[in-house]
Amino acid sequence: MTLLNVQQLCKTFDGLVALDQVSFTLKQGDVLGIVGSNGAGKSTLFHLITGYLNPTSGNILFEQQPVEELSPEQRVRDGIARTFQKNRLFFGLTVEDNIRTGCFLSQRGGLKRTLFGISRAEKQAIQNEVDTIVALTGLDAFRHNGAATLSYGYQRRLEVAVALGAKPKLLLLDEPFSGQSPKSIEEMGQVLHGLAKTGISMMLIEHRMESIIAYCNRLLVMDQGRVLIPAPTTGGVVPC
Amino acid sequence: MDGLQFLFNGLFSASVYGLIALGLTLIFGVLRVGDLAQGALYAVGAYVVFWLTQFWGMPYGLAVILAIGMAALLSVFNGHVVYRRLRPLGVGATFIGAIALLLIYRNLLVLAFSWDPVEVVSPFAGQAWHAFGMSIAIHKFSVLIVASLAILALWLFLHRTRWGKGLRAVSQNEAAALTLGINAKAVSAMAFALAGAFAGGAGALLAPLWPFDPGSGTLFVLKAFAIAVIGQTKLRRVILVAGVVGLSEVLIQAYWHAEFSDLVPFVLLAGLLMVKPQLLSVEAETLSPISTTAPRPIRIPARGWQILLTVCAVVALLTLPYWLGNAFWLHLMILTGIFVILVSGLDLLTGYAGIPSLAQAGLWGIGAYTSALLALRWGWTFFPSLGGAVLVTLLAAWGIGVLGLRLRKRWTSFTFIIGIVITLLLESLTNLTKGTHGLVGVPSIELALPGLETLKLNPFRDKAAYFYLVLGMMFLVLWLKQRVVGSRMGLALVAIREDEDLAKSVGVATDRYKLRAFLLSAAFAAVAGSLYAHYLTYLHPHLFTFVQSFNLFVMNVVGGAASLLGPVLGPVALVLFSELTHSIHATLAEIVFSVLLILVLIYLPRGMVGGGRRLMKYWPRKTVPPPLSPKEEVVS
Ligand SMILES: Nc1ncnc2c1ncn2[C@@H]1O[C@H](COP(=O)(O)OP(=O)(O)OP(=O)(O)O)[C@@H](O)[C@H]1O
Ligand SMILES: [Mg+2]
Repeated sequence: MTLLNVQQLCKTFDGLVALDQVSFTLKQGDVLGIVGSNGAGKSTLFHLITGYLNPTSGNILFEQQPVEELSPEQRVRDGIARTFQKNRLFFGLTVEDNIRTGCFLSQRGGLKRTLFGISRAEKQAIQNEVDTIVALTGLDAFRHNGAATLSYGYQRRLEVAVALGAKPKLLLLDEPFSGQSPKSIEEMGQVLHGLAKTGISMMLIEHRMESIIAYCNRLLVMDQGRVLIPAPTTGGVVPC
Repeated sequence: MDGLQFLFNGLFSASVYGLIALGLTLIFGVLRVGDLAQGALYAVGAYVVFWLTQFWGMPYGLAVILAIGMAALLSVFNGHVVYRRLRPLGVGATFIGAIALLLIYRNLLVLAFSWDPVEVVSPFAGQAWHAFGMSIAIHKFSVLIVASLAILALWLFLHRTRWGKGLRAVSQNEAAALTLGINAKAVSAMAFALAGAFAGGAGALLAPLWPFDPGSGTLFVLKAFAIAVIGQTKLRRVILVAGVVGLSEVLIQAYWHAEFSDLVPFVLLAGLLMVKPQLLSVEAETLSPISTTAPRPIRIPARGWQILLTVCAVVALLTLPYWLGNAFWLHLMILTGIFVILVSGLDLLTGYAGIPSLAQAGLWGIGAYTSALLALRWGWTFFPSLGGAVLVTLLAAWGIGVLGLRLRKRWTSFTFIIGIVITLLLESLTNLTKGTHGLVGVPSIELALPGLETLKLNPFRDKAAYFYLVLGMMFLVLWLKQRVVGSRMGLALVAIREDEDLAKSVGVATDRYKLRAFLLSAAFAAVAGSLYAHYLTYLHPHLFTFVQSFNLFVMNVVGGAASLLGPVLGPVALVLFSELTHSIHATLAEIVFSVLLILVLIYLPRGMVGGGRRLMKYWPRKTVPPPLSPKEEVVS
C-alpha cells in the first residue's frame, strides 16, 4: 500500500532552487535511503514533508490525503515524525522526561484532567510507553541522566526515541549516523533494524553507502535539487 | 503653519530620531538586543552640558564635545563590563540588564541634580530666521544640520573605511568575521562608542530647546527603538522610517490630538506587523537555534516535610493580621499578594514556556481600569467588575498574543512595545481614563453575602478583610498554576521552552499553547488589577508603565523562575527590600537595587529558589525522581 506520494515538489529560496520537480512514492514498510552531495536538497525535502517549510509548488499525499496545508504538529498527529540534522533535544530535561515529552500525543488534556489530574491507570499507561521506548533504544542505563550529559552517539539515539513517542507510521531521520564512532553506528543500526521489523516505514538521509546498503531496501539519489534516476544500486537496494 | 514649516519641523525630529535609531542599530548588530540604556545616555549628555556651562562657565560648543565623549565612554563601559557578561545568559537577561542600567544612570542623575527640570541657554538664544512665512530657530536649524552630517558621516564610515566594513561584517556573522581576522572586541567597543556619542550628542544638542529632567530621553530612545525595529536595523530603511515618523508626528500634532503623536512609531510598528509579521524575524531560516537552558538541580523535600511546611505557611499567613498588628505592614502584605498573583502568571510565560512578557503591567492596567470604570460608571459591584475586567483583558491579550506570538525570538521586544502603547493609551484616552489626572474615587469592594446585608469594605479600616480576600485569590491562582504546570499543558510549555521546533515535531501545537499560557497570565493580571483598583481606589497610568513590567520580571527572576515558590518569594523579598530601603533614601535604594539585580542575573541565574535548592543538599528527600524532573546539576 502506498504510504507517501510526493509529486513534482519544488522549493525555491529567493531564486535559489533547492528542490526541482521531486517525485517518488513510498510503500508501507519501505526503508528509503537518500544520498546526495551537500546542498542537494535532502534536508529541505524533509522540511517540506514534515511541514517545517511550505513547498513552492507540488503535492504531498500521505495515506492518499494531501498534507501540504497542515502544520507540522498536525502531520505528527497523522503519523509523520522526524529527527533533525543538527541534534535537537530537550536539553534541560532527563532522558526519561525527553521521551515522556515525546509521548505528548498519548497524553490527554482537557479542563477536567488539568484541574483534577489524571487517573493512576492513565499515568501507568504513559509510563509503560516510555519504558517500551527506553528498552527499544537501549537507553535504560541513562534514564535519569540529563540529556545534555549524554555522549553524542546516545544523544542521536535519544532523538530517535523522542520521535518514536508520537507512534509514527513514517519516520524521517536526517543523518542519524553522522558524527559517531563505528560502535555507535552499529548500535544505532540495531535500533533501526528493530524498528523496521515492527513495520514502520522510514526515510533516512545518509552519506555513507555502507549504511544505506545495510539498512535500506530502496534508494533515492539527489543532486542539486533533482532526483537522479536511474540510481546506482547494489545488493538488495532497489532504486525508486 | 504652512507646508515648509511642517517640513522643517518634521525633518528636525526625523534627524534626531534617525541619529539615535542608528546608534541602536549599530549596537543591535553586535549585541542582538536593543540597548535601552542609551535613553539614560541622552540625559547624561544633556546634564553634562548643563553642569559645564552653568557651574564652570564653559562655552556651549566645548561642553557639547565633552558631553559626547562622556556618553561614548559610558556606553563602552555598559557594553564591555555589563552586557558582555549578560549576553551568554540570553536575550532576556541582556534586555533586563539594559533596563537596570537605564534606571541606574537615571537615579544617579536624580541624586546629583534632583527631578526639578533644568534649562541650558543656547548660544543662539532667541535668534530665528523669518523667510517664506516660516520661522526657523537657528539652534534647531543647526541641530538639523549637525545630525544630518553625523548620519552622512556614519554612512561613509561604514561603507568606505576598513573599520566600518569590519563592523558590518561582525553584524552579519560574528564567527565568520573572527576568522577573517577582525578584532570583534574592538569593533563592538566602537559600535557602543558611536551609539553613545549619538545619544549623548542628541541630549547635548537638544538641551537648550526644552527644559529637561533625568527621565528625558527615555521616550526618545523608545521611539528610536521602534523605528530601528521597523527599519529592520538596516541603515537606509531606518533613516526612511525616521523621516516618516518625524513628519507624521508634526502633522498629528497640528491637525489632531497632540497627545496621540507619541504613539506614532509604536502604532506604525503594530500596524505593520499585522500585514507583515515576518518583519520582526531576525533569522532568515524558519528553524531557530537550539535554546540553551541551564540545568537545574532537583532537591525535592520528602512528602512529610512538604505537608508540614505547607501547613505551617498557611497557618502563619492566616493569622498574619493578628500578630502583624500594624496597618502599614498589612498594607504591604496586600500589595505583595497582588504581586504574587501577577508574577505567578508571568512565570507561566517566563519560567515554563521561556517567552518572557513585558506587557504584564499593561495588562494589569487594563484589568484595573476596566474594573474601576465598570464600578465607577455603571455601578457594578466587585465580582461582576472583576469578571468584566478578566473578559476585557483576555480580549486584549488575545489580540496581542495572536499578533505577537508568531514572532518567536522577538516576542519580548514586541510585548515591551505593547506595554508602552498601553500606557500611552491610558494617558491619552482622557475621556475614559482621565489621563494623567488619574482616576479617583474608585468604589471599594462590596461583598453581597447571601442572607446578610451587603458588606462594604473600607480600604483604610478593613485591611484584614482585604488581606484575606487577596490571600484567597492568591491561593486560587497558585493552585490553578500548579494544576496547569502538572498537566499536559505544563509538559507542552516546558517543551516549547527547551526547543520549540522539536516540540512541534512531537505534536505540540506550540502556537496554541503559547497563546493559552499568555491568556492565563492575562487573566491573572486582570484579577490582580481588579483587586488593586478597588483597594487603592485611585488609578494612574504611571502605575502600569514598562518599569512596572520590568519589576514583575525581576521579582520572577530573583525569586526563581519555573517554580511554585519563586513567584511568592520574589515579591516578598522585593517589596520588603524596597520598603526598608526607600525609607532611608529612595533614589539610592533604586540604584542599589538595580546593581544588585545585575549581580543576581550574573551570579544567581536560578534565583532564590535555585540558591535555596543548592543549600538543601542534606535535606531528607524522595528517592524516586518526580514526574517531570529537570536534570541534575553537573559540576564541570
Ligand atoms: N532557509 C533557507 N534559506 C535559504 N536557502 C536555504 C535554506 N535552507 C536551505 N537552503 C539552501 O538550499 C539548498 C539545499 O539545502 P539542504 O539543507 O536541503 O541540503 P542537504 O542536501 O541537506 O545538504 P547537507 O548534506 O549539507 O545537509 C542549499 O543550497 C541551501 O543553502
Ligand atoms: Mg541536510
